[in-house]
Amino acid sequence: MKGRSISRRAVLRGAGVVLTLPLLESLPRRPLRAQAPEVARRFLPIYLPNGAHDYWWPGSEGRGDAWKLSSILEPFGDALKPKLNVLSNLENGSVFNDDGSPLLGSASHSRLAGAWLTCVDAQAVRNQLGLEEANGISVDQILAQHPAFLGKTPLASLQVGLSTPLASCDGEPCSSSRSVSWASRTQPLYKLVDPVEVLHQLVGVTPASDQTAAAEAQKRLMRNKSILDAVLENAQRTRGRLGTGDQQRMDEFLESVRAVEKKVVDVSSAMGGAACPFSSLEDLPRAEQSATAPRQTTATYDKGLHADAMNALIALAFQCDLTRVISYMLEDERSEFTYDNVQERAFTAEGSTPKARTCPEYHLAQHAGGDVFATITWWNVGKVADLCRKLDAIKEANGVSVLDNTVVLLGGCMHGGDHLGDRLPVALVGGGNLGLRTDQHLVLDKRPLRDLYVTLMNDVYGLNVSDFGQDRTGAQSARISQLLDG
Amino acid sequence: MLMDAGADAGELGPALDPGRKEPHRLNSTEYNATVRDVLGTKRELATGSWSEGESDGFDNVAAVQHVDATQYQRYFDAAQDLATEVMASKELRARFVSCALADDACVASSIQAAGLRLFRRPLDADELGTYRRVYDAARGLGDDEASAFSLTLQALLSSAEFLYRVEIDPKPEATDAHPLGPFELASRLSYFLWSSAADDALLAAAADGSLTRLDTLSATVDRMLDDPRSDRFVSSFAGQWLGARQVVAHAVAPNYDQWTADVAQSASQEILLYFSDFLQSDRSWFEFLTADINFVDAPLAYFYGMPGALASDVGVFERVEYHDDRRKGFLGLAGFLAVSSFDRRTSPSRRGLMIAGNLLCSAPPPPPPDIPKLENQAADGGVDPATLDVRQLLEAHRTRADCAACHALIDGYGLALERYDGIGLYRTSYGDGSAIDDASTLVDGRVVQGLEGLADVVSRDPRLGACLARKLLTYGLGRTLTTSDEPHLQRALDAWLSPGQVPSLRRLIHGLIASEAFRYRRGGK
Repeated sequence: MKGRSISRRAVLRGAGVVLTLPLLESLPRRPLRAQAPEVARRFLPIYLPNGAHDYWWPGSEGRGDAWKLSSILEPFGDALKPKLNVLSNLENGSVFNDDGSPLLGSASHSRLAGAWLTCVDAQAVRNQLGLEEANGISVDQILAQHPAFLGKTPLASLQVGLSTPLASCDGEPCSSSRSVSWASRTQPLYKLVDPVEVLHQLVGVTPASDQTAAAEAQKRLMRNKSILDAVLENAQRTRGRLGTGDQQRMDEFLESVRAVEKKVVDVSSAMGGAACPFSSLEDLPRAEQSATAPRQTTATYDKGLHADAMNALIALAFQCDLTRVISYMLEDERSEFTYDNVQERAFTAEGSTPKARTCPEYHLAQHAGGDVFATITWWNVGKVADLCRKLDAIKEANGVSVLDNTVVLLGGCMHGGDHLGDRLPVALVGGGNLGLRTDQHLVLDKRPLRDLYVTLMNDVYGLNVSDFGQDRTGAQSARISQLLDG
Repeated sequence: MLMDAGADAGELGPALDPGRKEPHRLNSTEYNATVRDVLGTKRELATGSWSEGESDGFDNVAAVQHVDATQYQRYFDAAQDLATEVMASKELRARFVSCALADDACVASSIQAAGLRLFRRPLDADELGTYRRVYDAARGLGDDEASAFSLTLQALLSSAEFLYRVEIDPKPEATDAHPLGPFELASRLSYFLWSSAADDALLAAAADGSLTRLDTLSATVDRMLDDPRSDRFVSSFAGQWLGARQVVAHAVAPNYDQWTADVAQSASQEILLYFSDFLQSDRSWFEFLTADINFVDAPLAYFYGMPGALASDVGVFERVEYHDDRRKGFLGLAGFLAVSSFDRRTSPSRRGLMIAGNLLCSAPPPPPPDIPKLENQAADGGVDPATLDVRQLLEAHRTRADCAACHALIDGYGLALERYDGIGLYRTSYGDGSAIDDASTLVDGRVVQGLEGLADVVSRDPRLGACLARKLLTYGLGRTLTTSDEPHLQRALDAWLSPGQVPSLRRLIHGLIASEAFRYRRGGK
């Protein structure tokens, strides 16, 4: 995989037409990798819906040999335990309640989910802005839009998920429970659930391999550009006839068109020039059929396969440095997906063994508690552990693994079947090369979730952020020093 | 009908706030239907993975139909596929191009013809210029006429005015009500009743202004409801409101092996056909829970235990009035009974919630945090929950005061349906042989017995009609209703329920479309 960049001269010769200046200016830049090497710092929040079963939390605390994996975190195994950081006693109730209570009166699933990466109360933002759909900007998007990340990779960020049609939105806007990434207070970022769509996103337009093809590509590009010019002109004119409220809708549209325009024009940069093993993704077509099948049963839909495909794509995106920020939802919040592909297991604090029957639907299991809930949590953890192993197997130029340069944040928005917004399940994997202290079960003295984000943004990603999210108790946000090395 | 025949819509300025909504992006259903109707192409390019927002129980609410770069890329790619397909077919191409493109005037008239259908209104001179430039640019690159027109078509299909329904306020910041423009009204009608673009007749009625006359409007509504395209209203509106869409995806535990993919498909279809029967007949809406009709194909007839002769083919439905099956009305449909159950047992609370919430618009607030684990004991003890007496479990649950208040609002409805199992089959006892008690007490103290008793009581509940109006107006406008919509709803309801006229579904649709909420809008925030 080489020669992805089109020589500007070759294009001009091949196209045989006079190009206008604006087009020349928007021709692809050289791949960034030619510049001085730097550590690619990555962030991968992975959303675990419906909270976690009690066997998530390790029975022992401390560092190294002092703590042991719990029976639900067991899939990480001895190999990944040294890269793990389990954080107990983080809470997000202080976003909602003056007294910091973890209790939410209503719609706790969707409201807590909405606050997972934003640490604000979406309802309050909606009321404040007078909109039917709003939230805070999410921590992954603060990173993606910051100069430390922006422009360093072809894609600023990526949102993916395994969700299926079966999830209730609790009467709130569905974006609260189905999109954890928010680019702004008014723009939820929809996630891609179809692995083939993720692949298309990653490949971008197919790069031309020789001069003739490059000329054809350039012509195609000019046609596309002429269409997009007309589209922009039309939308601008429409925008001018609208009131200020309605203009926001057109602004969102215009922004989306411009993003596509940029991608259409940046023909060669999408691959980043790295050795990207796209040919390794053999299972994708099968997963595509299943992910969008209207009726999902074990006969037509295999969530395990879906997860494996998504894991492969995430690893690929990081390996090729196509993006450094990905949010990944294992399911939507209040998922009612039936895990009848997963054998139920009998759990104790120490471990688990298979039982005879399969798991029921997720939300029912959450409230039934017991083995069915523990099993679904464990199964999801297993898929995340698979992904972490993949990331750990990819070595970077500086000798450490992609995982060491990535903070994988696996967590949920509520404790478990109690719907409470405290004692949240939170585990960090990786980040050892980014200054994180690892191999510990850190039992905190009740700290708000936003403290974790403030710590990551400042001490891991080098941003200068003094505050994030909302704390109705009036407390100032503070770093979690025990997370940091040295 | 309710309207004063011949009265001009613009004659009297409305005293009430008609509300407003932002530019309304087509959802996937609308995109596919619009493309099919306007271009004549058959492929459904908008799939389940396209971005969709949902609010108020519907996927056509403007406020949550956002777009991002990924979604725009899909539109852009689809536009290319569609334009290529149209230009490759003589028959499809002739819809817009009926002259030689080598002739300059033909280019302009063809763009105008495509623009009229795709933007659902005529293009103005500026717009014509914009899309003409796409054609000229392609010719400049050496493309032939057909390819150049294909590119122009692609530009139209990629444009905001195609992807959104845009309504313009003459004075954008002024809050006084004004009638919609005739083309805007045509689009409201066509997306309400057809999930698609206006056809030639509707565009003609908009062009000559007749559509804004109430008599023409009423005749148009009847024409549209008589048209097969109104099936899309049934499958979108009833498909979501009455749960028919969920029935197909509803997963059940292995013990319900009679619930096959065919049965699920047919049970979903039956809900739509049942609703459609009310749309296409003069039947009173208040018979929705009591009409003893079913729509069955072979798998569903077999599932219900009806005589085989009633239906002999898969996917071919017959309307049957079969009185020996101990079921009638909407609440007796297998699709409803299954989708309101858990995967391995019935849930009286869920059934009750669907009745109270969907049919009566009186859903209790969502459960509080820390709710007791109803089946915890069963699951941990290895007892199959299907064998448990659900009533006893629920009664224990209701001993908690904070649970009792809401469950009292819903459980009574669901418990009366206990004779129908988790996939809607009639049963005489529970799996372990214990007896079923299907008498239940509603929140107002009335005792009902079984499906028949329940259907009788709910049919006389005034909320049954008011809720239908609320759902129809939400869907029809594609926006969340606010307090300013209450007077519109009330007026339409009063007229609908006036003595001497049958309160049919169709009459209510007429009344809501004639309301100022539907025909007017205002500027401002």
